[in-house]
Amino acid sequence: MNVRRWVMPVVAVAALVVIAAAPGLLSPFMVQFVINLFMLAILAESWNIIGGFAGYASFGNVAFFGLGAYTTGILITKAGWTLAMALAAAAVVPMLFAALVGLPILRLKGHYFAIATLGVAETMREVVYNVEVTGAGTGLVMPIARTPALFFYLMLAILVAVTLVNAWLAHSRFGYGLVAIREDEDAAAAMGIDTTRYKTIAFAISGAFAGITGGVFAYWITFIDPDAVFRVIVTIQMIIMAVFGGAGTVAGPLLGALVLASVSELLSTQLVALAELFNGLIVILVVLFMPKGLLEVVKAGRGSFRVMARNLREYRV
Amino acid sequence: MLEVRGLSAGYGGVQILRDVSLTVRAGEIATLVGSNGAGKSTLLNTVCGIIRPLSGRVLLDGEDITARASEAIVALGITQVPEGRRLFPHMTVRDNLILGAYRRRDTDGIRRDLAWIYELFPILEQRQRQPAGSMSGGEQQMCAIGRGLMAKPRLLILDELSLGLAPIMLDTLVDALHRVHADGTTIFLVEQDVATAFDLASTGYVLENGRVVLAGSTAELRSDPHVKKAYLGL
Amino acid sequence: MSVAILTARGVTKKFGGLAAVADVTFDLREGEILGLIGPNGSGKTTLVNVVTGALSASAGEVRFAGRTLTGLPSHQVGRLGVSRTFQVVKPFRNLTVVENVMVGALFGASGGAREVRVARRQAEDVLAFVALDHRSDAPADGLNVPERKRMELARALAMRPRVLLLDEVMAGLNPAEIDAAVDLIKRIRERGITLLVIEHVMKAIRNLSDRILVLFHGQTLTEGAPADVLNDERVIAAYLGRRYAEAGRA
Repeated sequence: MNVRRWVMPVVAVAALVVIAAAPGLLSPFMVQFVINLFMLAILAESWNIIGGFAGYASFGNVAFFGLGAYTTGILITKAGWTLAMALAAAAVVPMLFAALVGLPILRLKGHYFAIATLGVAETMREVVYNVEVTGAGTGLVMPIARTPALFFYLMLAILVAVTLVNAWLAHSRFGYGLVAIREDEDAAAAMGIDTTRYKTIAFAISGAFAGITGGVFAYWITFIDPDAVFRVIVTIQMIIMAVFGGAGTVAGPLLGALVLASVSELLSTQLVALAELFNGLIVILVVLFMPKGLLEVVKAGRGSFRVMARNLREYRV
Repeated sequence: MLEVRGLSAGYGGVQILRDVSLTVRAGEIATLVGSNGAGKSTLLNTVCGIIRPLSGRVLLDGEDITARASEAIVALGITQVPEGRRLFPHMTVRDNLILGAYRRRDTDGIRRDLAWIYELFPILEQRQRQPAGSMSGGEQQMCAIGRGLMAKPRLLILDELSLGLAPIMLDTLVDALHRVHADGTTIFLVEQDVATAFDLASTGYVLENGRVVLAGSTAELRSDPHVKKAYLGL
Repeated sequence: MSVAILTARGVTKKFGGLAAVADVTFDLREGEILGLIGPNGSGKTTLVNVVTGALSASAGEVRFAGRTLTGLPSHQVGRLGVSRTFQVVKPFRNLTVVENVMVGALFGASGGAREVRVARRQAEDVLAFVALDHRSDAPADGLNVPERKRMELARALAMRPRVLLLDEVMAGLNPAEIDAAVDLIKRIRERGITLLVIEHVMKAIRNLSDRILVLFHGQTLTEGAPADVLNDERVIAAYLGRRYAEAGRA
């Protein structure tokens, strides 16, 4: 029993060491791919906090991402802050924004919440588009960094951090509170959980991670404008990856990001037309065969086909 | 009217019903009693086409209806009032009731029957414009029964009629069911409240662990020592 | 005479123009089991909802252990030591039985256990107490009816309440299961928990209640010892019906 507990962390650390050596070993193209992969994984894992654990499917997390990108952009280009300080702000500003916006919005449930968050993201893009300090439509040009390795390690560090947060949630009192809210919010409240506070904190943490990632992203691509950082497709991708892998689990969103980003990359080089359909196909696949995500099916090992067949029957298609 | 022959059924590899046979004769009130987990709901789900049996047959007036689709079975005149009400919570009480008459075309008859349901359950008339889900548990139960009655079925199946009802409500329902029966409806009552079930029905079956262990007139069953001890708490 | 641990004074709850609960006043005395009966729709669950903060009161006041309960959000009521079960049980379906009960242990009275490990142990104790420990690791949505009811009860107990409000826990139980449930509730009282029990199962109410409160159309009809209340003509007419009048069993 004791040995089993340490297998996962040891494997994870070993993998981390290997991954950390990557920039020296991989081609520049692959390094870019991996940085992008890390970014998607972070977004999926951070969405998982509010969408997977708490069950509040936010369709607007890209708002935090973009807000973080612009916070970093403005602080570096207009206020001369260092990267480190600007990134810290890129975590804090979206976090506070999430807490503020969460006050009215987290009162909504299910579809209404999804639409409201989508609205927030769309509104934010329009606002940024029209405001001077953000460079409005023309965007912001960032200073050029020297090596891609910097972004590789920044994204890796954030990914490790957000994954650790997820792991903590899976075993902590706070995490149980979020899951209870997801399963039955009325019962959760009756049992002593301050649902408003918990939801808001989850939303804020989710926003903070999305924000700091946006900050790194801004510095990485060196030029940001509203259309680059407030793309709805980013929200959709992070949700699909988290759900495909297994929303509410720790490894699920990572798995989802890895599989989907890789396949998508392959497809876009081999079958360009299919790449467009890709996201839609994945959604159908998940809904039919694995609503709880790939992780559930993978864990069943030999029994995975039975699990998928049962899902198909249960949801009466 | 309804005949079940040698029915075995279960869910996903777990067998619940073992070789169950029973008959509900046209024009009578029959009851199947048993504890939780005995298989009563499984039997109903099989009869109504919701799950397929592993073996055995279900016959309606001699016609084999085993594993037919539920809509087809409803069209043949069987209506089930399910356990746990299953109302449409956001629709009004009135709409829920009228939906019970979905398959009927006789608008006059429907209106008359609605008035009759309101006479039976005055509280439903009072609350007719309220969303069904906003009523108390027992009121919802009354609405579910009313909805079943609105279908004017040949065979009315009631699953756990007495769940959550105040004792006086049971009196009202027993009276209502006697009237429905006198009008020509055959009733099959699946129940845990054995006392109420035997009050209403003339024929009874006792289900235990998926098997029919006792069958006969309710008058006889009432004095059976096993029944008295296990189900009537005497 | 024992002390009133929870008091309700003039509690009213209106929906639109309609009063579901109208001017209800009662005391819940420490250590007692108070039975709450009444016809369907008489306001029993609504009353519990107002007491526990799931619904706001339109008028009136509820006090518990020297504090005003009315106006507090339901999570604070739970933290103060008042727990309830739901008439239609609300399990956390994607969790196991023990995890369900752990939530109660983690967040109950005084904020509950801070550590998950401690909560798990407490949850296991509670499950043993309600004789559901053999199903600890089963998924919550795989339980049968009596087991689901016991888990709902276990969750509320894990909160370490001083007052426990039970809403029709016996519905759907057969005679043997009802006896077991009555037994369990008595053991809960022996642990020092005060109980308010809503039920339609007369056998249980008779066996359990020290006193009975009767609601009718949202108002208190009468209140008193079981023998008196269950023989009261008004109660028979409004609630019990002829089977109890004839049988003379009340």
